[in-house]
Amino acid sequence: MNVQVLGISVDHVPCLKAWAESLGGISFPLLSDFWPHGEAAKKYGVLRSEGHSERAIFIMDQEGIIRYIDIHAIDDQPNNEVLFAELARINPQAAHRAPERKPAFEDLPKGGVVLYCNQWCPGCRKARAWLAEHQVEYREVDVILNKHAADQVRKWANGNLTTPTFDIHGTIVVDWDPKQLEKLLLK
Amino acid sequence: MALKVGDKAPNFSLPSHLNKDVILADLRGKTTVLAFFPLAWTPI
Repeated sequence: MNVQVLGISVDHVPCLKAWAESLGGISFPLLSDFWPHGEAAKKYGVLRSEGHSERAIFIMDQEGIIRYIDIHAIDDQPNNEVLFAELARINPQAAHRAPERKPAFEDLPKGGVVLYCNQWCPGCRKARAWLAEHQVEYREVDVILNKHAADQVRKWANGNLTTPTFDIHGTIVVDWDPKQLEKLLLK
Repeated sequence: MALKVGDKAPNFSLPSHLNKDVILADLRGKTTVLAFFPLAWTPI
């Protein structure tokens, strides 16, 4: 597939390396727009006065012409579905990459053990491993894909989108806390 | 001045976490997705 993905932030390189490592490695380049500070973000008009960039996606075609621009509020994740659709339009060969997505406003599971998480947070990975190790049956809800879930977690976690958050038979555990899980699930 | 669809993408050369500098202009011939994100340690 002839698509190159580049991530870019105003962090310096060691910080990007550490971050990529914490996510289990990232294969596309994360670019450091650190010095001169935010120079590239400035060129693209996405440098904020606080010194970091907006969340923004630019897609360039093979001639280096901008074909798609999406600038997001800082706590709003760009929607992958939209991006894949745009990619398919600009580069039809990329179309088969579009993953299946669930509706964004699915009802939340009630009862049992529910893990509210996302695809990349290290605590969520630990939680899955722990639940598997102790053979706990659970359901998983992605707070990035499901807006109801994000709202619910924010209610539980003082306004923060903390992951992992657990609903264990109605008892809420915010953040990765194996002691608490042990108490609730292994007694 | 804000960029618009149809504009030429401004070039840059930046170091990457893969120990290799990336020059945007070198990527002609590929569709390129450039994703700006705030600081890496932002939780979401």
